[in-house]
Amino acid sequence: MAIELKNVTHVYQARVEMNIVALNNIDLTIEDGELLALIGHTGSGKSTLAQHLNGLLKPTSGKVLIDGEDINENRSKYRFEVGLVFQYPEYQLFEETVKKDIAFGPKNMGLTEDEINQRVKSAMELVGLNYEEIGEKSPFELSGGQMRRVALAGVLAMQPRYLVLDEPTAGLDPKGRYYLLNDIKRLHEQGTTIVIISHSMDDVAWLAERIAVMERGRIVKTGSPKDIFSQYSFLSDMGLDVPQASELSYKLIEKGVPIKNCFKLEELADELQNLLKNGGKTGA
Amino acid sequence: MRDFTLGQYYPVDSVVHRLDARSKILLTIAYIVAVFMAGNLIAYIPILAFVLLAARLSKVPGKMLIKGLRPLRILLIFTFVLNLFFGAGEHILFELGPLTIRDEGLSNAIHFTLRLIFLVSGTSLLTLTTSPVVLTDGIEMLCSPLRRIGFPAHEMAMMMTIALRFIPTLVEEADKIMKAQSARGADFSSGNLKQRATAMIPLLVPLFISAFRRAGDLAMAMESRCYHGGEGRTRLHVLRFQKIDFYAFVSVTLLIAAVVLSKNLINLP
Ligand SMILES: Nc1ncnc2c1ncn2[C@@H]1O[C@H](COP(=O)(O)OP(=O)(O)OP(=O)(O)O)[C@@H](O)[C@H]1O
Ligand SMILES: [Mg+2]
Repeated sequence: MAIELKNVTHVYQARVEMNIVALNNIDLTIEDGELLALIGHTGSGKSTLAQHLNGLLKPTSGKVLIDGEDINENRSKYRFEVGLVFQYPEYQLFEETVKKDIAFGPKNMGLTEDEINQRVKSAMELVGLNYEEIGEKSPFELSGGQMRRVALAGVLAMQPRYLVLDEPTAGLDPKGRYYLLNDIKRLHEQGTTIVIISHSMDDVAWLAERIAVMERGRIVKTGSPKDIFSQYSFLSDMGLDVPQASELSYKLIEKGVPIKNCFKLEELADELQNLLKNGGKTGA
Repeated sequence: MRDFTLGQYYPVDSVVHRLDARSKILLTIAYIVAVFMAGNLIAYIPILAFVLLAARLSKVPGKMLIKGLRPLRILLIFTFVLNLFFGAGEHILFELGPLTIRDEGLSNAIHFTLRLIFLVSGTSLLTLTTSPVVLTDGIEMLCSPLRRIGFPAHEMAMMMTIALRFIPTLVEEADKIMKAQSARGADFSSGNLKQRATAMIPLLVPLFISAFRRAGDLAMAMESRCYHGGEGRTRLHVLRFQKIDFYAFVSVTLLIAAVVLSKNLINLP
């Protein structure tokens, strides 16, 4: 029970004679129930990889397997198993009302009217949108953050087993970001397997159980957040940041403050609190 | 969708790229005239030679030009079939049930199809070898004598550049929206005509909204950079006629001469 990528290579033919190798021999297994974060520099191939997970793009060579079966052999079967939320998904909204827009996916699945309504309702609940209040509104009257949640609900209403999110928090205000991250966490706790692509290391630190680092179409490293975020120089070689908490703890350690290396803000706060309780600046 | 080469610029350095934009526009017009004057099949030979020569000199890969015709294939087939079976003419060449092919129909079918192919490939050579900015400059300068009679040459040219500039962007956008809706199970490629038309709504609505948003943003960006029309604007690239422009004019004159000659000297359908 997993999504497996086996030697997946994808070549875009942008112009005649101009080939871009966006994915280069990728091997990756996404285990059921995990929350994997995909990080990497701009153009490293993250979005391309994401579109392979539900068969929107076909590998130029290699295979994508779900539960051991090739996804491209039976694409219609797996289309609804893997929900893909694109970058800036609010630009895909098109219906007159929020409800209708969210119902688009379930309708395409051929569900009954009752089932569709049920799903729309629960998807809206999941992302914290009020069914009575917002359901009949036009999606274009909503704020950017609300629109994004409507778009997310549109994918969740298909109740996919796997959810792939391409930079879901890009361009949101702190509050919208906070809500969205909480939604994702909640979904994960309810058993959905999640792959999240993000440029925000803070989001990744807060959410991820496992991180895969991509560079130029390859996966160069996978590991736990603790493992990845402690490799400061490796990440900066990849053109990536570390979470704010990591950065602060590095700097404090450099100054001789005796704390552990932390990548989560809460963890660092606890650490500092302990330090202060035990007599403040105890030197190294 | 991405195969659409009409209106795309192919940035390499070649003789054709270096031609003055004004010459290229005039040449293209002359070429279009030649295509329409072609009275018989022989006349297409010099036209074909002209396109091949221009394509060769421009260093644009032939594949790219042929790809540019692909979006037109349905139109081409329509043109051919409609003319073939519904054309007039005295002699019936072929008859099968309700389908008849008459001589004039056959010749029209061939003419119109060839004409379309030559028009599209010739004009896409213009845009493939001329960057939109330079192209507009050319159009604007060619039209500027008309300003005296109140023709808004600069504004027209600017509108055309913007339209050309946004074709690839909109194609890319359409591609993205299509993928996103497919991820929600939208099906763009099956069903009858009505179902297919309905299936386009989830694509077209977001596409229009984004086009309007882009237009608004662009207008704002232009205004904040003090754009106020053509009055008193100077150019970054000043166009100058050179020797190659002269050769180009000679070649297109030869083309027209060849087409006219073939029409008058040889009597073929
Ligand atoms: N439709 C396409 N046609 C041609 N080339 C493409 C296309 N989409 C992406 N590419 C190219 O493939 C490479 C990988 O792109 P991709 O979008 O997967 O990167 P990414 O890691 O998602 O980047 P970002 O962080 O900027 O979103 C890039 O070099 C990009 O230019
Ligand atoms: Mg991306």
